[in-house]
Amino acid sequence: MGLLWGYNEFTEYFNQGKEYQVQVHQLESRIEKEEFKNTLLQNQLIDFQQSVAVALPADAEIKNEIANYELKNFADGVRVPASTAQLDLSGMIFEKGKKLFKEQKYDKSIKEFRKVLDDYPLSRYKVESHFFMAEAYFLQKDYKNSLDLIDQMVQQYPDNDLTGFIMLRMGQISELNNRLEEAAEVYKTVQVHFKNDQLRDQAHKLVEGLQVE
Amino acid sequence: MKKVLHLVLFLLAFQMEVRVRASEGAISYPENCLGRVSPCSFKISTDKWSFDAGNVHLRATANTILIESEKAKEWKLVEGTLWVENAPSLKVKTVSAEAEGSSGQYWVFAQKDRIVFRNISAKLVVTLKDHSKLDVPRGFEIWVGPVNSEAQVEHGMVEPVDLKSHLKAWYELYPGTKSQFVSEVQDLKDQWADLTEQSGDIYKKVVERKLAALHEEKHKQLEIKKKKEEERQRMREEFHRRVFEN
Repeated sequence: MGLLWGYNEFTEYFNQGKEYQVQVHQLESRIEKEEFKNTLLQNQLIDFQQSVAVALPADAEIKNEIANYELKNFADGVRVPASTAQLDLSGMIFEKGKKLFKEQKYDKSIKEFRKVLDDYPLSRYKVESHFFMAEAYFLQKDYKNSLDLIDQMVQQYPDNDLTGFIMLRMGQISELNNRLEEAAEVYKTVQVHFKNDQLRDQAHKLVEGLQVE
Repeated sequence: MKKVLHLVLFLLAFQMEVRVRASEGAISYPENCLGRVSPCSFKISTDKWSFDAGNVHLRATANTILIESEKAKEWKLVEGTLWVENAPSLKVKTVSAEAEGSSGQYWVFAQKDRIVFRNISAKLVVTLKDHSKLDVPRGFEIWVGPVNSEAQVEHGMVEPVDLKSHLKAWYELYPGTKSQFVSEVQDLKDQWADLTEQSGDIYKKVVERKLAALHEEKHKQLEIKKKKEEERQRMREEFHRRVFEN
């Protein structure tokens, strides 16, 4: 059997189909080599462009005179706008997300809150965006993603009341998975750790609810 | 006898084909330059590429393009992912910044419009094209972009590594067994337990530095204003004296 298979391979190797395959393979490898050289050249060009961009004076230092027109255009061509001048639109995006959340369009609202987190990492709406995202996933019954976000909130904002509220959801997820002891621990942690009375009452009621059952 | 001859011929032909394919596996410029000539540019075609020479241990994913600019001293990452397992005296250059680490691990990702430097266990210093230096602590990463209109290199804040997303890249290049990987992940998880707390300290320092700079700037502006006012007052008095007292 082995010899027959070997013989078959041998004869096939020298037939015309194989010859074309070899030619195609050679052409492909030639294209790959050309692409490789192009990437190297492009990288060299970008590297040089960046060196020039650093050497040019900052935009604010280029006086607005006709003589500097070419220089300004050239600088604009090789540089990107400074991100420090970027407008903070996180409030607007956050409000849009909240509106969608109220309308129970959870998928769309999650996208908006995600934008706040990704595009404006220093936004003052960061905690609330986290909270609403976790809540939206919970209401969609996507408990895995909800728990991931709750984990992040616990790590990043351990003292924020919103973390306490979202931890109640964490407890509820444990309850839904029949992990009643785990749920009770979560509620007790909220009761001990947070000072917000409303939050503590809520946690207390949830613990009692567990004991009654 | 004839069959034996066929078999020998087949084996010879098979060997020839393997040899051709092996030489075509790696693209380099100049041809077959790695380890022989520098500078040497090459594109990786194997899934788990590794390079060991002296105390330099590097790993990279398929399709990564690298240049060994100076033997054991300077490499450049053009495209893809580079895992520096250990390279204490090596510089890793990119288009907008270069990294230099002590012994220990760090990663460099050349993405579409930014470079990410991720420090696992080295003492890592990233020098930007505008010559400013950034320290990336263990367990933290930073992205670096192009030069902006202020003639400075755009870069993000130093932030803790998201272990979940790091695991994918790590596992892709990990040379050991699954159980070894799991145990190393656990070790790293333990080491990085207080990263969020550390990042809080870093951000606090950054904000304090910025506030101090703002305060200093405000102070300078007030001084300038005061000097100008004094100058104006002096001019007024001078004018008054010349016009009315003579």
